[in-house]
Amino acid sequence: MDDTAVIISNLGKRYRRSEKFAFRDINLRIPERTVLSLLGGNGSGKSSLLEVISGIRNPTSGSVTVFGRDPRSIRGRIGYLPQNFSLYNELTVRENIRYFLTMYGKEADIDRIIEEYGVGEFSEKKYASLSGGMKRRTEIACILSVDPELVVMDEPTAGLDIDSCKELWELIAKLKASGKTVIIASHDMHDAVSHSDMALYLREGVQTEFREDAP
Amino acid sequence: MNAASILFHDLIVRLKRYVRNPANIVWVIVVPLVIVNIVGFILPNDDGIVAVYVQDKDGGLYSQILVSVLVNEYSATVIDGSLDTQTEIDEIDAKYPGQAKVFIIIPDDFFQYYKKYTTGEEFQAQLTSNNLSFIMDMMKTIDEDYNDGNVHITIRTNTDSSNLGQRALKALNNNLIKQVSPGLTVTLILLIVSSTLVVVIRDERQQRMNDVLRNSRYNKGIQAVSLIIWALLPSAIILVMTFIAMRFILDVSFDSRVIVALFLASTFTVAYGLLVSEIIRNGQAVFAANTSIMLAMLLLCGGIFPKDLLAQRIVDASVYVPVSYIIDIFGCTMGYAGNYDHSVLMASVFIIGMFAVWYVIVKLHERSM
Repeated sequence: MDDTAVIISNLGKRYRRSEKFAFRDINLRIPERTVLSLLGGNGSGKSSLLEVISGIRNPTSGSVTVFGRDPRSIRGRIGYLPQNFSLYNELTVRENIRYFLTMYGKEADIDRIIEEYGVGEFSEKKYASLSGGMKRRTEIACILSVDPELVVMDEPTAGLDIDSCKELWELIAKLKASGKTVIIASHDMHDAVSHSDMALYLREGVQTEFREDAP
Repeated sequence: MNAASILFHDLIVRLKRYVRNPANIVWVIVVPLVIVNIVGFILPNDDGIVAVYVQDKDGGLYSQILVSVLVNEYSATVIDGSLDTQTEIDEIDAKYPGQAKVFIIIPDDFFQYYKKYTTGEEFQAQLTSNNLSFIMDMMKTIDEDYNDGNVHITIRTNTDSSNLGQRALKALNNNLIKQVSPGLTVTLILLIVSSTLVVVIRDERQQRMNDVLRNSRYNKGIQAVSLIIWALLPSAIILVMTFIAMRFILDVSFDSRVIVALFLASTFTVAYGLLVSEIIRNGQAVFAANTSIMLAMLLLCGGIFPKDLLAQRIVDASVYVPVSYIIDIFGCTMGYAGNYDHSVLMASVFIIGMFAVWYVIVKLHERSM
């Protein structure tokens, strides 16, 4: 495909030992250099959908392709930030970033990454000693340090104060400007919609609304 | 960057995380030392377990000092009658069946002989510090030196109790029933090691880092190898610390096969830990399951109660309990009876089997995700 980042066709996921689908019959096409907001209440299937798009979980039905391929087969091109994610507490911010780069087999200027993602003030501090906002920034820096083409974030603004949220949305705008495709799950409907190009609404695992050029 | 290099970096990061957390150090180093020493020092005072009989044929100053130490510190019984022949010793032995005994005969020219091996000051010092191991070793050397076919010193027990450490271990193992079984020490060690392993592996599974890194080059294969190598480390450290405490503080002597015992016990606990935490994924449930499964295995295999007291059906079933062979290997290494070669073979089969089952479960789980 030319400029399409993600194609989702009749996608569904049902967990083992569960009668209900986490989500089903999702159809979507996300062009490159787009920000998509995934909206819905608790248990609506947002996180499960993100995990399938990221290649973390297998779909039960339908298909998903990322840059024309199975997401599980394109190592290093997808950056996934889970909702309840924690870096290694005993390592410093710098060491955590270096660990990510190593695991992805990439070499990069760590000082530049630290500067670019605004974690310089606390780069030598251990992750465990950081505040919630600092931790989230560090996690995002780690995910983005490996320069993924598709960035998938599950509720990245959860627990952040207003200023940190604002910084995050600015960062997302920068990511889009630099040519990346971003998918974000969020509870914060107003902010998410106003900063996105597209929005998908889920209700109990069913796609209830889809809007392009959301703002 | 190749897989080996990524694996190496991952292990370095694990090591950094580990040493920066003081609780880990306490758990793997201090806890085994404390537990082994507590049980090792408290239980040897139970002198009824290993009975000491002494006959003083010398009657000199030093032999009298030795007798008084044996009587006062080790509740030795002084034998007035003759213990010159094996038959006479057997007669005494037969009076107290089933109880481990040590017979010490101080020869009539003890004074001449002991001077060959120690000075008067050192002898006094060792006696003052109650070093029974030293006394036993010296007496055995004297006995070997006679080489005249007569019995000068003999140690009659179900097992060799020639030094204090061994004696401590036997006391420890016999505190439930006055018979020799290799149980309680190894039970404690295996419980500590397996609990530590389950905690390590459970922590690993709770991290979402592996999910995040699934799209990196840190694939499932490298993750599995890294986890196995990493899980081996705490179990090996605990076992080494336990053996150091036994050897250098409790003065237990092992044969050189202790290395094999350490290796097999470590790999066994790793395979077991992986298996348990794969089947039961909930944090606290995994801990409870480990204790239940390990205790059940130890009960079935004669680890806690001697096999000769167990029902024949349980003894037959113990052949299929993997931990039986690990305990046998420990027993052999520490001087207990057992078929060592057979145990190594069977332990290896079970360990490889556990790894194989773990791998199959992981693969099935992956497919169902």
